[in-house]
Amino acid sequence: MAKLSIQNLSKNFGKVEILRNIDLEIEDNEFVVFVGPSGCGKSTLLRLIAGLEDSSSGDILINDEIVTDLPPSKRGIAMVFQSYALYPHMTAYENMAFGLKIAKNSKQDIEEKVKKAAAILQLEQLLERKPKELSGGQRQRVAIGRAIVRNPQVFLFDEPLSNLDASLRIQMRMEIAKLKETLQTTMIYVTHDQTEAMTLADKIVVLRQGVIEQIGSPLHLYHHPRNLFVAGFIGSPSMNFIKSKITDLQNDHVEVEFVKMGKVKIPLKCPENGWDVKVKDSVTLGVRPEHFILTETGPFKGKIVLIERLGSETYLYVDIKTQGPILIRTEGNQVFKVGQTLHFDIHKPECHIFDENELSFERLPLKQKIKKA
Amino acid sequence: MFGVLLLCIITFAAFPFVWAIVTSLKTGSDLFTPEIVFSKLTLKNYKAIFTEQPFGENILNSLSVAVATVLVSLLIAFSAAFALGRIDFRGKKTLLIMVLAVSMFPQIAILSGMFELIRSIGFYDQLYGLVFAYLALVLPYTTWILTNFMRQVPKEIEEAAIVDGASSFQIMTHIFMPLLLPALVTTGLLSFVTAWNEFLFALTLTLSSNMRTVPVAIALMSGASEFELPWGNIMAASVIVTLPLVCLMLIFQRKIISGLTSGAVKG
Repeated sequence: MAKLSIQNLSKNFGKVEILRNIDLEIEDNEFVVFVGPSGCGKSTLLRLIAGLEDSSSGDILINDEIVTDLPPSKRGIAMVFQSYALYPHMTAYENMAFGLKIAKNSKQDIEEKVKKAAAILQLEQLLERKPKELSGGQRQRVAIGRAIVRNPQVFLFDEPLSNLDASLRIQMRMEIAKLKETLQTTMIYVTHDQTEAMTLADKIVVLRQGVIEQIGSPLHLYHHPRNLFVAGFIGSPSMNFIKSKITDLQNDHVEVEFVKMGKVKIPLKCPENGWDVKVKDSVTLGVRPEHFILTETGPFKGKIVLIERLGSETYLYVDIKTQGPILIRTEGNQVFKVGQTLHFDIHKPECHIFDENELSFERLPLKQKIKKA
Repeated sequence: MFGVLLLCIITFAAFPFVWAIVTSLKTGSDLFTPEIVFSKLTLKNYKAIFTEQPFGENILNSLSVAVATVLVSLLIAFSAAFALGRIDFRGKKTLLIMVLAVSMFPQIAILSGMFELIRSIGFYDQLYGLVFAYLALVLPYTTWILTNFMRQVPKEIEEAAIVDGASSFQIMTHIFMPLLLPALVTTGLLSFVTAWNEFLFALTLTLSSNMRTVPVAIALMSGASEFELPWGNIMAASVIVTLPLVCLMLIFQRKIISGLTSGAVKG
């Protein structure tokens, strides 16, 4: 029910610049995930939207209304904290009702809203318990319930799952995805976990050192990362980067040679006013672990130095003699040995080339793969 | 071995109190005859302290002074602790260190100054004059203790309340007050004991016998002649004034618990 607009927002702590000139538009009902390594400013950005921090410059608009100087409670937001931040002396019910009580809602109204939220979150049986009698997942649900009852225009989640153990995290991730369907509200979600970002987001905002690196849908970021950083951050396990040199430039492809290994032609879209790189320029070739093809004879080969078996798939660390080992993903039921020489090829349309400024070259649009029956 | 040690410590700690109780139940020359099996125990001393002097009034004085000191000091210290523990402002550290430094002054050093101050504002020989003086004694450490407890409350809880729309005052009363209840009880109890047992200020700042607090009243008890100290009466009075403290400790013992914020945040 709300769109959010951030205009030229900056935040300094003393002399340290945390966020620099952030511009961001968030549409109604959108689920936006801020993602980035720790210290990139994603939590600060969320806290600025919440009103828990004051911005140094710039504006935040919710539904075209400037809220930059409004206190958190007047912005129509609700926040779920990483540490849950439940009031320990109150029961789950009282925790959820607190905000409504402060806003002087009638008792009946409070009860109705809390019961409704509790039903959505399956908390009905736990309403009389205090936080210390609840498990981590239940506490987080109460915290989400506390946010729901306020009926906010914008939901803010600050790494809500990072305190939960792995299996619970996946379960809660699903519940949040369901919640997104049920509530139909704009949601902003901060995480450092790119799996959460990929699975939940309509739109991902990748931040690094206080600057937005790229904004886009999860798959757009996966297929068309703007630069080396986004390419390395999105996707798990992360992309292999191989130092290479350009050996040939054509209208529809670039041929690069990775040092001492061989040449590979990568189909790329030539910019309208020609390539702004020349033959012999150094570039970085980016290949995701899943985009290698094992072959009988080559054209490339390397020695396996480490094998990680996950059952469903196997990760091979392969030494290609130029730099650290590259990571290749294969099926789970093939047998490999450490020390074995592996022949492989690269699925060229899925490769990325980054220039010396770490910016990526535009790729040709991928052909939709149609599975043959 | 452990048992023997324990017995030694218990004997050492409890002996004065046992001796006081026993003495308070004897009169006359019995006081000075040591015996293992107690005979001729009497409650005469207990009756005497209430009839020979306004001891009931003294107890009431002590009680009202102590309670007032506790309430006023908690109110001031809690508000101060909120500011010192939760709000960033310039000079906060200096202020906190000063508060701690002040609490290290020996009482005797501020006695004459306090006397002048109390007399000039007309609080001399008044109970609220004592309350005023005791605040100077208890506020530094109540503020310090509460500030430390206040700091332990995770910031997110406060922020959650802010997002929920609570004002600073509501955060204090609805969130911090219940969360710090154990700390409030503990510091309140400490203040109570301080005010209840305080002697020096009480002696200096009161004059008439019906304004005296219990410690002063006990100290100034006199016998039939100036060569006789009424040990029996003094001990009876001592036992009576110790009882409320013991009761308070027993009642609030359960409130003084750790883990006050358990379940609030992760873990």
